[in-house]
Amino acid sequence: MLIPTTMQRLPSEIGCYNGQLLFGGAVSQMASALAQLTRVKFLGEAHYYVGREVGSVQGGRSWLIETGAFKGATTSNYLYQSTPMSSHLGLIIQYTSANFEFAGNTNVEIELRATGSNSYTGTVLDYGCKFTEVDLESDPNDALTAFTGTELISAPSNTLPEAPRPLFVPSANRGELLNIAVTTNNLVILGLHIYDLLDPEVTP
Amino acid sequence: MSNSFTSPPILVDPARLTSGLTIRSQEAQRLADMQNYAFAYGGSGDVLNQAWDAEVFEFTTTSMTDVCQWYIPHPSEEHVEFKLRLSSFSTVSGSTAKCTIQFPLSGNSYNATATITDSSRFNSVFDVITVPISAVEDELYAIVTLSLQAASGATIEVSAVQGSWSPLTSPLASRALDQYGQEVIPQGQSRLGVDLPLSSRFGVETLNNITQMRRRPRTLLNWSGVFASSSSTAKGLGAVDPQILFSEVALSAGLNLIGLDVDIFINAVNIGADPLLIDVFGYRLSVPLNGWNSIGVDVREPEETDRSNDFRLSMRRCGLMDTPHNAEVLLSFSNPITASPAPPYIKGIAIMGV
Repeated sequence: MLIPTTMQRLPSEIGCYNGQLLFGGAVSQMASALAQLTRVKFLGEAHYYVGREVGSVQGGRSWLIETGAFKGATTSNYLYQSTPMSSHLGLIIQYTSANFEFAGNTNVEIELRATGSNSYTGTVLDYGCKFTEVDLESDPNDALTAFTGTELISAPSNTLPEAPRPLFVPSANRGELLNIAVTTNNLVILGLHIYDLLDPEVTP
Repeated sequence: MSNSFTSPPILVDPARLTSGLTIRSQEAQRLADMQNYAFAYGGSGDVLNQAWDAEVFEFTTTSMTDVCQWYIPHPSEEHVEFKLRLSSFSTVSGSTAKCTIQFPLSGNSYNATATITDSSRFNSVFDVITVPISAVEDELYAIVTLSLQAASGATIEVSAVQGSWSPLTSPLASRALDQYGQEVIPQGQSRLGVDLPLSSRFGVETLNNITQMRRRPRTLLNWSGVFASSSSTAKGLGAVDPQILFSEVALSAGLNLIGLDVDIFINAVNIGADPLLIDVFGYRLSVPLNGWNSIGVDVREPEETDRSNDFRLSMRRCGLMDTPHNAEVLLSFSNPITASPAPPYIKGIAIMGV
């Protein structure tokens, strides 16, 4: 069935009272509304803003990044509480990057890990993807975005990061706390947005 | 008559629900399954996320001190466990962190503490602070406060925080469930799983349950300044933040037609006689009070068309607006926090949709 993405008006409750004819249409509207709730409204999402050093006099962010912000391989971990519906995770990465001409390799690698025993280095669930200079823009003065897209891929089998794509959550790990490990080279993450992806057409 | 559910629930076959066809008991059972699942899991995803780069958020005070505060949604009275995951480290063992949840209308608060385990950034493990809610709290929102206490001679560095409510387990309790002071009636699987007439009560309760669960807020944006630190981290929103402090989120237009809206919470400091005006989510909002201000608005931001096509949802930019006005009123070189008299500024903002 097509999953309704917006909240539509519900049938009148009076239609369900004794003495009224309750046609299938009313029940169908209930089914649609519940499909919208469980598969659209209650999809998970997380929005990380990454704070950086600011001037103590200013007290707030007056520059995008400070001098010397670009570094070699640096891994950060972003926790994400998945839901039983979390099959694919789309990511929007807000970033600024070093000038490709003067920096070494500029890239971002994204990997999905389990968090057993609260560890950052739990089992790798998806070796994920890598944004290279082909996928990124070069501008140390602007806030830019990179996006994994929303393709509902089948379970991947790669053991090295591949071209940008959504992360795949194995069915056994859906509903668990997950770790999105992000490794950057000569690039600064300004924000990371994680989304459960909508499956718009589901066969009941 | 167990109020059980499967995770994830199986959809109802809509072709089975059109006029002229028999409504099978399987369909009715699945309707119950979806309601019970939605009550248990709805709103139990991430409600609070924030991160800091290395050496940005450091803390050395040896008494328990409030450092950050966020507004978060509260799914229902039945969701009574909140988990805050803290990615942090302490250079000397024995430093602690406390999470306090306060309900703004009742004034009740609950807290728990944890010892910070790691000794370097993302070294080994994150810490979990589990806060139990022991009384019935019927509010849509709660306030989360993070407090830190460094061991003697220690520096705590916070890398990230993540928070969520624990979902309920199957089966749901065999009674009317409470959400925001109103009832949600879980549905018995075995009663609906037999070929008996669909009762009037089932229809009325289902419609009521759906209406209730549509109200549950979800976090679209959440940010807190760092009130106390030993490093140069942002205390308030700065002039560059409008370029980055926003989310792209799914929000349908016309929510107001079914009585729903978007709630914006702003935590302000140094507000004088004149309110602070700030451009957020398509509105110029007036912030008249020190502390948390609450403003309800309709959706009027235009769709972000490109992302809407990708996500197959109506995606909108939600957050601070990149306007000359915001650049003028937020903290900056020309409007520093150290000025005299002290300028008004924003030390926390949260935007909640449905």
